[in-house]
Amino acid sequence: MNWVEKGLEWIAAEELKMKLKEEKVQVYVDKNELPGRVLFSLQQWNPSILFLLKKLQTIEHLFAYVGKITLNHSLLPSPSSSSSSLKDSINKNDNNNDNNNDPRDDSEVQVKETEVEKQILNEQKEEKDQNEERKRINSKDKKRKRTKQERKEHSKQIRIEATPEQRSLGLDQLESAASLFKEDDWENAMKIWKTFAQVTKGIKNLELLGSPIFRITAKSAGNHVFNSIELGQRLADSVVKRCPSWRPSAKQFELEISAYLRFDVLHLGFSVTDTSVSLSQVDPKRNLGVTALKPAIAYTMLHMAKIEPGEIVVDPMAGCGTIPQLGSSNFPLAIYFAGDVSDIAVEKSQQNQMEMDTKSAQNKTWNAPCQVVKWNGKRLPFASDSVDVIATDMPFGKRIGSKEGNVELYPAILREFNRVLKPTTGRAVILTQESRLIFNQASTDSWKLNRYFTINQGGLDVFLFLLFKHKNE
Amino acid sequence: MRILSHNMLMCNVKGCGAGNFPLRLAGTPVQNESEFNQEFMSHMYSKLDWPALKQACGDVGITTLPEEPPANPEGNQEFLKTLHDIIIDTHIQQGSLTCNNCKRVYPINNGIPNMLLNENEV
Repeated sequence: MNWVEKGLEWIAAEELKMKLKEEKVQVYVDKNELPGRVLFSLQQWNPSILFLLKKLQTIEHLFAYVGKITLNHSLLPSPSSSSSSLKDSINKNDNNNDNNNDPRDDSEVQVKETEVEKQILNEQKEEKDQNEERKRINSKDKKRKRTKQERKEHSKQIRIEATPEQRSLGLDQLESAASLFKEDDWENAMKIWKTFAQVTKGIKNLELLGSPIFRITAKSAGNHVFNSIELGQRLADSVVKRCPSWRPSAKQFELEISAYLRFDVLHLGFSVTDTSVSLSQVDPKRNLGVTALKPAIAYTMLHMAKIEPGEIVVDPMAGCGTIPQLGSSNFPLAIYFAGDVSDIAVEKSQQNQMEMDTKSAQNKTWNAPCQVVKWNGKRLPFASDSVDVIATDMPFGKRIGSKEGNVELYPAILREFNRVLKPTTGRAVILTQESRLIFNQASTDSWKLNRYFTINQGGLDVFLFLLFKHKNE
Repeated sequence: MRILSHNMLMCNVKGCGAGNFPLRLAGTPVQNESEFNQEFMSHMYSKLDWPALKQACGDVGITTLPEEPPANPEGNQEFLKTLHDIIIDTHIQQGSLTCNNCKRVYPINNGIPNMLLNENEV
């Protein structure tokens, strides 16, 4: 366990492979080239496959991928620095984060941090001591506490401006970017989009489909000679250059073209979803708690637990009940308990569950029974060695609880988890930012740490743990 | 609260040892119809504590539970359907769970049992 595995691409890939098994799907993940994204190809394409895809739980958006081209005039020349010292590379990475054209581009932040982690871990490869790992997490936290002022000043020192020649070269290349994509690739992607437009958007006139009104959404990672507005505008121009009958419009568009300029590689895709796919699997009117989990992450946790039919699954800190509810509909042969210490949380949980049960009864479908209970996670009303799975999102100590409180809370809670879980097969899937506190418990004899990795949740580095109960404390 | 849930809950007051399961059930049973799922019921059958189930039914006046499960219960669809009606569809909305041992009462309101313990009970 030298690496800290990061990101959720693996779960999207697994879900695709599982749910599109019949279609002989091929899935590709390349976290360096396309972080936060999964490429997949199918032997055939028709409306029924589109419906299948729209039922996925772990993905947000779908695109018909056109392809990628290299725009070698687009990158800003990097500041001359061949320094191999760790501190400098960390600073440079921080600097790049600030100069990033799209500060909300999570995926770029991901790859930079993985590189930093790689350097640190290489130096410590000899030491397999878990304490060293925890120190690394500590120091990473401290480095983030640089103030905004300090970062601005630091970035001013290293930033390089593009010369007018560099800018015009880069912008000119953009103007003909769309034409650089292969005819076959463009046509195939259009074919996929046309099915979507006919089925979902209700555009019946095939002729109109040939000349859609389009909009470009451009994201970028890296330092470029132009800004993101110029990027979007010039790309739109280049699309019109390639397809003169197409018209760009920001509001009344039919086709949304997604452009992702990652350093000097431009990826293009035609969007085939209107809304988030994973969010459309849950009731939009459900009652949300203060720190409600994204359904895709709740699904991931349940998937990690590998729930078998007949098992008892408990969420001792369920909040508004996201995890047990997702279990109730996606892994419906188990029985669920959603408990919380707060009155409001329990009420919300109950409302959500009743909505789901009523809908199932009306539609004559089945969802697993989920019991909402009021309790304290430190003192669960279950017999020892009786529960199969515990899946929960523990308080980070920011919006709920406190960091100081967590130091007492976590050991007490984990001890209770250990008591109620069955030995050997009983497992806990825990989502938390308090990785240190979990590592402390996991290193005792009573648990076996099976797997852990990090995900980016709203800019925070959050950990997902899978622990097996080894034996009673 | 479903009859199924009663089958899994126990009293966890400090010092309450033997006799803290099953809890005594009180309240008026209400039927909420739901789809029958044979696969689920046959897997769930082996997890049930039969004596606890019989006691709960006796406590709230459910008479449809057979005295003994039939031979090959997991394959007997009629039996599983009857079981489904009892453990999945029967709810106690208002009532209580009481520990046989320490006599602690856990209220059930709006279908939610309150198992939260006081300071002196932990």
